[in-house]
Amino acid sequence: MTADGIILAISFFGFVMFVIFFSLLIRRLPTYPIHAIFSSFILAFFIAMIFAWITAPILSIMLVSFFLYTLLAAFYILGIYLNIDSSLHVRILQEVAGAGHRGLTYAGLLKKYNKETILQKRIAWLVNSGEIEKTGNTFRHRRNFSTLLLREKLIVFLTRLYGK
Amino acid sequence: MPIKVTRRLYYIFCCIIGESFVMFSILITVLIFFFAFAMQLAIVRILRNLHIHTFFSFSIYIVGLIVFILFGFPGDFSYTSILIYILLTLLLMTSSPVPLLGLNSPSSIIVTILEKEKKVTTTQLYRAFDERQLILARLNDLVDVGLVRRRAAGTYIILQKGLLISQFIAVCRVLMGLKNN
Repeated sequence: MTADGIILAISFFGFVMFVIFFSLLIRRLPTYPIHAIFSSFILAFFIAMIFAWITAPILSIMLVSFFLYTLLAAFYILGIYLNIDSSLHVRILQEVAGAGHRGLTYAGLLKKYNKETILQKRIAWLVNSGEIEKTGNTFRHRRNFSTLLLREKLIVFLTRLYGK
Repeated sequence: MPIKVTRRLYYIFCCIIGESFVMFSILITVLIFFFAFAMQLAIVRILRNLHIHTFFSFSIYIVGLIVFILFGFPGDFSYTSILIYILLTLLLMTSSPVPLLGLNSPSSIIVTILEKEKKVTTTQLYRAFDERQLILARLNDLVDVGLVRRRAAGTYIILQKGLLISQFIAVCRVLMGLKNN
């Protein structure tokens, strides 16, 4: 196998492991997405590096494989998981599709999916990931750097670059 | 010089050259990507002045990829380099301010509110969100892109394209082990 093939094999092996671990963890910890992402990333990374050590113990191949594996995992989370799990557009589309040919009114949609359901899920995410703190009936911000909002920060940064 | 030492030196030399070549290939890929990104920034500003949808500016990355493949550079690591280039482009697209991906997510609004106000009660937090902005605006986005149709009676009905996307997402959700909540 060529070095190119080895890099691809290691990266995709790591990525498949990441997807499997993440799918298993998110089933058990649906309100702890950050924990599930980091745990599965580290677990899959170690397994991929063991595989790399067996197939080609060359530093540059391992480094490039790690870079490619990180890109694949990042795309899975940012491009696939976040859009499928937390996109409001996707959820609304699914509710309308679920209504079939009879259709759904705006009031009917609100009975199934509303501000309450949206915010409950987000608050649970933010509290469990340590971004915000809930004391009794009040919320407080905890961190200056938020991993959960990395994508939003990137969007804001790119909006500045692209110009309004 | 003994043959064994010469062989060992030759092996080390090959490793250094090989390792440098892998790194150099990846470096060139990343540089080409950043060059395409700089070009895209310029194109976005031109398209905006011409009132053309800025999404078309992403075609510069396809041009970059074609140039990349035509020149055949960086040789032995072409598949890895091309995949890295494609993934960097896709990651940039998912993080770009494209209307359907949404700029202001509820999570970012919650954090922004808490950064400004320091302490907020549950009622204050819920009051900060407008249901029409949160749901109706997004429902209208789906109508605008042709996934959902609005009937005269005020009911929203799924269109064929929307149904296919919805079914695909439903399958993905099952595979990923996600629950509706």
